Amino acid sequence: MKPRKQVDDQRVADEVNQTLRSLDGLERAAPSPFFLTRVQARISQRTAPQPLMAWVFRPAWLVTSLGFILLLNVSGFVYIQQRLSQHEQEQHTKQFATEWGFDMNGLDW
Amino acid sequence: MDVQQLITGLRAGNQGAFRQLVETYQSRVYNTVLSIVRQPEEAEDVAQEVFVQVFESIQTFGGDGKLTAWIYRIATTKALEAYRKRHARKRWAFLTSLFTADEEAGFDDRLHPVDFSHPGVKLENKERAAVLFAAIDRLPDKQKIAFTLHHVEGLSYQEITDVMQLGGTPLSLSAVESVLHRAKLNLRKQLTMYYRQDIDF
Repeated sequence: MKPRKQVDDQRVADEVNQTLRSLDGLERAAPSPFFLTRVQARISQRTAPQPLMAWVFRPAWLVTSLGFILLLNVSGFVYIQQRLSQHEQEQHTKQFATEWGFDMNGLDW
Repeated sequence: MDVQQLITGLRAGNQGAFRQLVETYQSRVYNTVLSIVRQPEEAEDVAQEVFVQVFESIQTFGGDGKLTAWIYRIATTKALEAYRKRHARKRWAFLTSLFTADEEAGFDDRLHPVDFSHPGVKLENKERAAVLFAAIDRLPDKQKIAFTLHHVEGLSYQEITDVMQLGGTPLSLSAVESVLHRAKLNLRKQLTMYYRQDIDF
């Protein structure tokens, strides 16, 4: 009677050999029936003239442009806010100076 | 239409020639690509790209009429590119595998799962073929290509030499024999490990 290890080795070797032979008689896999049509569609899509300025509509450009416009709007809004508050402060000081009879040029604002 | 007429027709932009080219080679290309990428949808996409490239590069083709070898070369290159891209997406799985020893990760891991069923394999061999494809997946690129072309596509050693030579590096017939020999040794080693684990459990 053969020792267990020897039997196991033989079993493993048999499994390996059978697995290595498992591709024998393999038949070629075929693509879908519309393969040619799809390839032709792909080619005509590639060779079709690209509309002028098509790159403008690429998502990366759209997002960047929108971001830039948003940034301009926000900075414009902040600038106007600052100018308004400065103007208001000026008016307020003038009114204060008039009420109290101060010399405007002597006030440090 | 012989090969030279086919090439002339393709260069002239003849639709009939292109149709014949696709009809002649679509199964060879798809079968090769499928065996490497192991996903039918992706294989179809890559196979379509192969023919687009053939269409775009036929003017520069100077393979002394070895059109078949040239098409196989494009197919294997594109299939490997797609395979690498998919594996790059599985980087997380790779990172985790770095922290586990090979023996612990086992044969059937996330990068090389035993899950591919080639539609052309005989029913009684399906299970074994899935194990073999997972083992082929682990081979280095050259061995993977040579083994696939020989055992899946049935190409001769000379034809494989023609395909692999187109990569730019001169390759002899004996070098291809050696690559195939190493591929078989590696596969035998991996499969032995797999079945030994199976028996131990």
